[in-house]
Amino acid sequence: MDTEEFAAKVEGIRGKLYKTAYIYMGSEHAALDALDEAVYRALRACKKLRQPEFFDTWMTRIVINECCNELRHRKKQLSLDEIPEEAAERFDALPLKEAVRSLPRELRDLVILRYFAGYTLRETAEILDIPPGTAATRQRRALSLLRLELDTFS
Amino acid sequence: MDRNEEYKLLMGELDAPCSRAEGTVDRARARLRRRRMLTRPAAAVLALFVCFTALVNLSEPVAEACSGIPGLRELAQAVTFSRSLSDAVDNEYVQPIELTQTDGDITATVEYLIVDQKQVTVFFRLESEVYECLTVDPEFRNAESGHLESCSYHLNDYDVPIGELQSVTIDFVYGDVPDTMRMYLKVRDAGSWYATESAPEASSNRWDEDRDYTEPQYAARFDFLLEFDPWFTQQGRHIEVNQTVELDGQEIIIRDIEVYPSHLRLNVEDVESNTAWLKGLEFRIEADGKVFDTVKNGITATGIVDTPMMTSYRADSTFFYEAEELKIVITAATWLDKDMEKIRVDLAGGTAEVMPEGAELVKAERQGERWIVAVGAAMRNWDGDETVHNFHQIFLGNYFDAEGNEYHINTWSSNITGVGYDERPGFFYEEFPLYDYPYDEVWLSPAYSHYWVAEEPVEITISNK
Repeated sequence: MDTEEFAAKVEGIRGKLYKTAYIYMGSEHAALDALDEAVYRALRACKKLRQPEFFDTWMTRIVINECCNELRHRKKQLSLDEIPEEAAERFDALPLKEAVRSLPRELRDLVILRYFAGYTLRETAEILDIPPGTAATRQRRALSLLRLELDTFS
Repeated sequence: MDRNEEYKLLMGELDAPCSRAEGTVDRARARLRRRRMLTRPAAAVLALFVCFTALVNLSEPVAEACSGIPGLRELAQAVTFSRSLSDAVDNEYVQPIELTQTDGDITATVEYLIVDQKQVTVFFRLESEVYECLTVDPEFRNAESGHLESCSYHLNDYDVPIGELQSVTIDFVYGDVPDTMRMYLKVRDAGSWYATESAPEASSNRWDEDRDYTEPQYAARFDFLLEFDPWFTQQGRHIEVNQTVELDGQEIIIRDIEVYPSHLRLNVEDVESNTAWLKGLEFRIEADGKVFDTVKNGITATGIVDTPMMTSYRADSTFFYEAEELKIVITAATWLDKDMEKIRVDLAGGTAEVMPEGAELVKAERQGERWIVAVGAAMRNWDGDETVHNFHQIFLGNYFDAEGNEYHINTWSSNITGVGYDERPGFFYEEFPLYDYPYDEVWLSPAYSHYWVAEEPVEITISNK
C-alpha cells in the first residue's frame, strides 16, 4: 500500500479513529496525540500490510494499542475478574465518559468501538479479534454496568 | 438527565468536527520525512542534525516538540543527562521491551533498552496508587542468578516521581554485555523513609550509624530477565591509534579508541620510564568541527589492578557521526608520583610527610578504638568554567599499618564545612574514620599527587576508519 492509498483510507475512517481515541483518552488534546502517534506508526508500517482489505481493523487496533499504552502509564487498569458486586452503582455515580473509561479493558474496548466509534458488532468483534458471541456478551454486560439502553443488534 | 440523554450529548460532542484531526496524515508524513532526513548521512544534513541534538538536550521546549519520535517521546526527555544516549534515541537506536510485574501495591514495567557491546541502560517505570514516593535499589546478576563479572551499575536519576520513566546503566568494564541478564529491583517507600529518617547529626556517633548499616524494609521486589537483541550487543568498533605523546614531562601511549553507541573509550598505556602514574585525563574528541567532551556522570575512567594508573577514559560517543578524521585534544592531566603511592601520616602528631598538591591534613582525632581523619583541598573547576567547582577524591579507600596490613575505608563524607572547621572559599573537606585502628601512624593512598594543565592543547589526528 502506498502513502496516497494510506492517506485515503485513513481519511475514510478518521472520524471513527478520533472518536475512539477521544473516549479512551478523555480529552481532545490527548486524543490527537494518540491519533497522531498511531497514524505515524501505521504509515511507517503500511507497506508491510499484506491484506489491505483489513486496513480498517488494523488501523483501529493500532489506535487502541496506542491509547492503552498511554493509559497504562497513568493508572492501574481494572480487569474483568475484579469487578465488584456493587459495580453498577459505582459506575452510575460517574459521568458517562468517566464511567466508560473506568470499565475493565475488555468491556471498554467493546463499548467504545461499538457505541462511540460506530462500528457494527461484527466489525467490533473483528477488530478485537474475539468471536461475535463473546462480543455480544460483553456488550450486554457493559451496557448493564453503564445503565445504558441502546440498540444491541445493529 | 438519564444515561441515554447523557449519551446523546456526548455523541454530539464527538460529532463536532475536530479540525486538528484532519491533518493527522500530513503530520505523519512530515515526521517520516524528517526522520529520513535525520538519518541520511550527508554532511549538510548532519549539521542540521547536530543542531537538533543540541537543542533537544539543551532546550526543554524543543525536547517536547521532538517528542513525536514514535514511541520514544518520553525517552528523549529521559536521556538528556547523556549526549551519547540522546544521539542513540534520535537515531532510534533503542530495543523496545515490554516486561511488567506487580508485587503488592507496586507495578514495575521495563520498557526500553539501549544496549551495545559494553553497556546497557534499562528504562523502567514504577507505578502505585498507594505510595507517594518510591526509591529503587537495583541489582544485576547473570541469567542463572549468579555473579555478573566485571560490571558496575548506577541509577541515572534520583527522586523520580512515581509513574515517570527512569533508568539504570550497567557498564561492562572488561567483558562484553551477555545475551541475557537478570535485573532485581528492590523498591522502598521513600515517603515513610524521609518521614522517619532523622537529619544526620554532627556528632561522633554518626560514624557508628554508618557502620551499623542494615538493609531497609522493601515494599516490593522484582526480578526481570532481560534478553538482548544480538544485533545491538554487537555494536561497537575499535580505531587503532598507537601514538606516544608527552604530557607534563611524562610519556603515555594512546593505544586505541573504542566507539560504542553509548560512550567512547580512549585507552592509554604507561611508559616504564615515567616517574608518575596517569590518574586523570581531560580531553575532547573533535569530528568535523563537532566536539565530544569527556563523560561527567557515571564511570569516567577505569584502571587495571596491577598499577594505580587509570588506563581507559570515557567521552561522549562519535558513533552516530560520520567523519573522515577524529582529533583527540588533551588539555589537562592528573598524576600520582610513583614514589607517592603511600604516604605516612603521624596520627598522634597530626602531621603528614607529604600531601597531594593543594591538600591539607586538617585533623586526626582518636575516638576510642578508632581515628577520625579530616583532610581538605581546593575544589577544581572543570573545563575552564570558573563557575563550576567540584569536590574530588583526595585519598583512595585503602590504608596500611606499619607492617603493610591493608584496611579499607567504607564510609566518608565530603563537605564545604566540616565538623568544627571554618568554611573557606573554594575549599572542601573530606572526613573518614579508621575503624579498630589502635596505631598512632598510618599509610594512606593518595588519589593523586598533582594536577597539570597544558599550556597548549596536545592534539592527535587519526583516521576514523
